[in-house]
Amino acid sequence: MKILAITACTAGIAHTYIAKEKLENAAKELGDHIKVETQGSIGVENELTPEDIREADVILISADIRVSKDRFTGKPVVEIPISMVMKSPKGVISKIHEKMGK
Amino acid sequence: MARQKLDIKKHVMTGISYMIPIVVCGGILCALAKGFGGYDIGSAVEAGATPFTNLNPFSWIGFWWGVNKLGSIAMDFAVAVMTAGVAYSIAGRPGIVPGIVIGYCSSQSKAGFLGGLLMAFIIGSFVNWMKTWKLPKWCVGLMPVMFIPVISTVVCGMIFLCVFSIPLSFVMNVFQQWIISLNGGAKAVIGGVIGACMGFDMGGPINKTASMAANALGTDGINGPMAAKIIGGMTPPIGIFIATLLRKNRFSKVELDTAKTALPMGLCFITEGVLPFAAADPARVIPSSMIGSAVAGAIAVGMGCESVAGHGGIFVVPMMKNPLWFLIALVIGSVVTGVIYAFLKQPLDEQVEKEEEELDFDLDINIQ
Repeated sequence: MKILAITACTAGIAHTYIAKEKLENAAKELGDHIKVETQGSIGVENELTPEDIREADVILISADIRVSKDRFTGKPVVEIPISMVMKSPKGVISKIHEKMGK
Repeated sequence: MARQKLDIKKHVMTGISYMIPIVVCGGILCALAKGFGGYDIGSAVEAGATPFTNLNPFSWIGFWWGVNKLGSIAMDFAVAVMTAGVAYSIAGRPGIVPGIVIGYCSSQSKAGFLGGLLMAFIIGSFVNWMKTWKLPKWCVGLMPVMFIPVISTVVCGMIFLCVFSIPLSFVMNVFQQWIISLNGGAKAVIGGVIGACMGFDMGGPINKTASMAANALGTDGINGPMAAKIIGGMTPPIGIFIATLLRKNRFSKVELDTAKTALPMGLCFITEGVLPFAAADPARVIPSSMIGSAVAGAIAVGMGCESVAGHGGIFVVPMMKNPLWFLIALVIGSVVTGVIYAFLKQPLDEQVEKEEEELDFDLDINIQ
């Protein structure tokens, strides 16, 4: 499955990037393709391109702050607090599999 | 309901995340200016027709006065930025203008952080409601540039001034008076209470109210509480840094890096340096920092430390009364916070093990 994710935490210096790593490792283990955009205090890094979004099966937004969803019109979007990814990255991804029926 | 609760938290956190850089900027500039220009640098230049009329920025004092002014302006805008951030999170771009205006109004009226936060939610809901108005086609374009900024600012602003400004500043005042009234008792008690308040919410309403109380006492010439305020705001970030030294293996690599930035922030009296930790693990971080700050405040004031300067962190210590005891109290308080948090912090291994257990949660997939 092709997953796109956005991570963003309150201070934008720590958990944003830990969550990115955790998601990437978990996706690798479960055999999914993932790209993670970080919205830290420095701004957007590793930005999701329109092509990425067009090809994606699902968008996972794990954030404690506001993240704009304007780009994802017509796409399935999952929103969770970042702590859920911190605690259980694999759980989150398998749950998405289950819900998407794949 | 759970969803709503999550949203509220998200809005508040958005505001705080916008506020942190401006507080850091203001804090460090004030600290540097007071360190190099003297603690009363703020009154070194008399205001003329504008605050800057009599400024000679090419003199030593003039230069640092300018730096201090930049820092204090940044501090004045902290609540405004936070309010705008929360309103933006709720209502998008149209929330920013009323948020800045009313947030600034709130900090000026002494309703402070609490007033700004409350108003941000009112502004956000009001702007969202305005967006649903059905208007004739010719004036749809005027909505975002004229109707929303003007109407939301005047309506929410007057709601604030008519309804909330007076009771909020009254509540703040009562709390402040209570702290001031403690001044009659043992010195260590008021130092401890102010310290604990400073460590409780790291830059939030309790912290700001305690520091306003210390400022008020300072203008009456009672300068002990000011030392407690400074020390209570300095120990939490330093303490967390110490915790990472004590139990390196219980922190992730990114947390260790974050802790390294917390140390200089603590030395500059920017309590917000601890927010990344407090936001992630509040149940353990807040008690640790409250206890450390209270201990530090109690020791400092009990041993007769006094500070005329209201800000500046480590840079103003040489100008304090009993600076040596201040440093001793700072070390003890930080070590207390550090040891308690190092003890409470959950080991990384346990966190990893938990990964596999906590699978009974649900998530919704919505098509945008």
